[in-house]
Amino acid sequence: MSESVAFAGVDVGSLGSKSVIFEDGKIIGSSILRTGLKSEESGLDALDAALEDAGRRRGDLKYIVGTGYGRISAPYADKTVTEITCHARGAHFLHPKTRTIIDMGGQDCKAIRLDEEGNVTDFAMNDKCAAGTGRFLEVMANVMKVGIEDLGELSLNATEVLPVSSTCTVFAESETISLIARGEKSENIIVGIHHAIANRIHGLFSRVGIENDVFFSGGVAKNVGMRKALEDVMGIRLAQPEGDPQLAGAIGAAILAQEAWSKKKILAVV
Amino acid sequence: MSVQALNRNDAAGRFSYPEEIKEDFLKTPGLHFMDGSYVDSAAIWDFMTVEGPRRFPYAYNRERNNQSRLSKDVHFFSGIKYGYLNLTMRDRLIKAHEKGVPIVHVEGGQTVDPYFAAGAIPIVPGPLRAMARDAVEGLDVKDANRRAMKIMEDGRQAISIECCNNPIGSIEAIHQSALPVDMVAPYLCLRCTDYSYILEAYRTKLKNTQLHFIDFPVTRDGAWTVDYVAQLIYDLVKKLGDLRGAVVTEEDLRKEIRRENHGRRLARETMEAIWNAGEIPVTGADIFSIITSGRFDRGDSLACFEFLQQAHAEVIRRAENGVRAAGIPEKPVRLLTVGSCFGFGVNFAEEKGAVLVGTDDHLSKIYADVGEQGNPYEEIAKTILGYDYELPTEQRAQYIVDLVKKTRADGVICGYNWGCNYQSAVSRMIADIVKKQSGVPTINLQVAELGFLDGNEQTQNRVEAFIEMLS
Repeated sequence: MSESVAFAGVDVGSLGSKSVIFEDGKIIGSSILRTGLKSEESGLDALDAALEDAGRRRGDLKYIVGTGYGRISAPYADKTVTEITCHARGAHFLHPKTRTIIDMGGQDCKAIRLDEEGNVTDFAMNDKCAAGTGRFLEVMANVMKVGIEDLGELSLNATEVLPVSSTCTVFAESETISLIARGEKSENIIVGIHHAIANRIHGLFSRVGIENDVFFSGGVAKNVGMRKALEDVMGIRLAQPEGDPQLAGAIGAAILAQEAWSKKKILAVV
Repeated sequence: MSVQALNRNDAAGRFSYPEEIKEDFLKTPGLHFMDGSYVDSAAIWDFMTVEGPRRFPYAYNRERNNQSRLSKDVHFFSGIKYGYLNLTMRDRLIKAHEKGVPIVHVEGGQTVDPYFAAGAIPIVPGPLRAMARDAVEGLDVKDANRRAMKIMEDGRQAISIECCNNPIGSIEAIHQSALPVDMVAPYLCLRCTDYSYILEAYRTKLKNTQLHFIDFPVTRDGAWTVDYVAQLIYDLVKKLGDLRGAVVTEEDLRKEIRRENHGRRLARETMEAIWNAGEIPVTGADIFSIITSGRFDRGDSLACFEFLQQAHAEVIRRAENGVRAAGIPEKPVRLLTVGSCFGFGVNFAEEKGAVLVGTDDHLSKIYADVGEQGNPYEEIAKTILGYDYELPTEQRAQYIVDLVKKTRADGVICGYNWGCNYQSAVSRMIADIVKKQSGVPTINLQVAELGFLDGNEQTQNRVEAFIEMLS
């Protein structure tokens, strides 16, 4: 039996910890867990869950790349890479025609441009603010007393888009409370919240430009209401790739793990 | 050929200078100071290996985000001497002040010829804040940083004007008498909109400190602007002379101008040798020391000048021999930073495969010579009005495009502190023009952390991604 040549990518974000196991250029296992208080443990938990999903053990892994904000506490990783680079490689893997990525995670949103090989050519990120992030949606779901997973579906039933400020999560929260007090329809408020974020992202793209195909990655990409709001506000069609967009960063990390290992092997032979 | 960092670590993560370099270090010259004193290399060695680690442990801490950390390249002996200038600055200033030498708070983005010529010592915000922190000794990196943050936070709470950290920290340090300062007398360059804070502080709490602004006529149209600034410089020099009961002559000014021109030339030649070398011969920390010494900001223009002479010789020798400095990655990404006052983490960049090749702000001062013939006040005025960094934005962007070529930069990081009204307005415009005209990628960063030790993951994430993009 030939030796297993498996690689892992571990993406510890502010809200979610993701891991992907790669073998022979294919994803053979993955996991998505909630990030706990200790990011090292969260990363390892995600890694073990992905290994279990793949039917592999830690000893089978040749190389691990860590990414996401938690990568600063990832002693298990052979190398760390920023999630910007990883999302580009992951999105390229899932949808090779990707030239633009909208990444919305728990703590920030990013506009990333890439070339035909999945290399980053430019990027912009929101600056030090929860507005326009997954955290913003969490706060709003809490205000609206609905689950975060239901927010998107509810927004699709709106009859009008109520304006909500995109400047600041705290301001938007008090605006939303005012709208509720005024007796506005919940769905119309919720769609307003999604549009506030989409407007924010649209502004981010004024810095780097947009080129088709546009890939929406990160945990928020699973929200159908957010996808629709982005398409409406930005006047674009989002790519519909196979695979989980929340795993893009971890997939990119696993690909980079394989590349780093191959490079190391070549150097060792030389 | 790469120089190894021979740093020894102790349990607390601090390094010490290794004994095996001592013999060679002692063969090198010491430094002369403006008060007539001389410190030989043996005394410098003793200070840096015994007194320094005891009084200022933070400077020896290898924590990646420690902006006050000494250069890791222990074989670059001039760098050790710069460390000495840095760590002894507070002692020297207090001693000078006791002898009647006026201490003057100035801006970071200006030349300082008239202050030294008038027998005063000009201090820019960064070192002033560091010296205020050092009023309490024996602190390691976390406590030293906390103390610096506390001074700044006090200033922020006392006067609620949003501006960058530098004036808040330095003015509050003066207010708390962490260092004796006789006068606040900066040039009102375009670069900084934070004078509102200084003015408000003067109205409310700096009542025993004189204030003297050198106005900056933004139009620069015609001879009147030179006459106008020259008169303000004359008044400044007169006031500084009066403070110590001396008459400052035009020859005093010319003598200082000649020394500083020579120092600026040495700083330029050293930087150009670094840019043109096949391997980067010094670390980012040492590059920063060379550029800032070309602005004579360590409290003594003679000692800064002699540091530059020694650094120049060492850099030329290393460049000729193809030496790569300790800790500099192979084929590093060369980064030029644009914008004043935001602290760029050189050690972080080097860990991630990049090296800092310069900052547009500080470089503009080492390229700002003062005419040695003619009326010295007018010549100083002409220089002030000609700073590249203070040019209208499109022209300043052109200056940066030229710097990109000169430094052979792979990427440009435009940055500004949160609260800096001026740079936040022009930074994006510069990033766009420079990218378009030089073809080199640029990034525009708002730096919002108060200190540099904690809470900087987001800024570092952008810098790291930018380096990966350029690798």
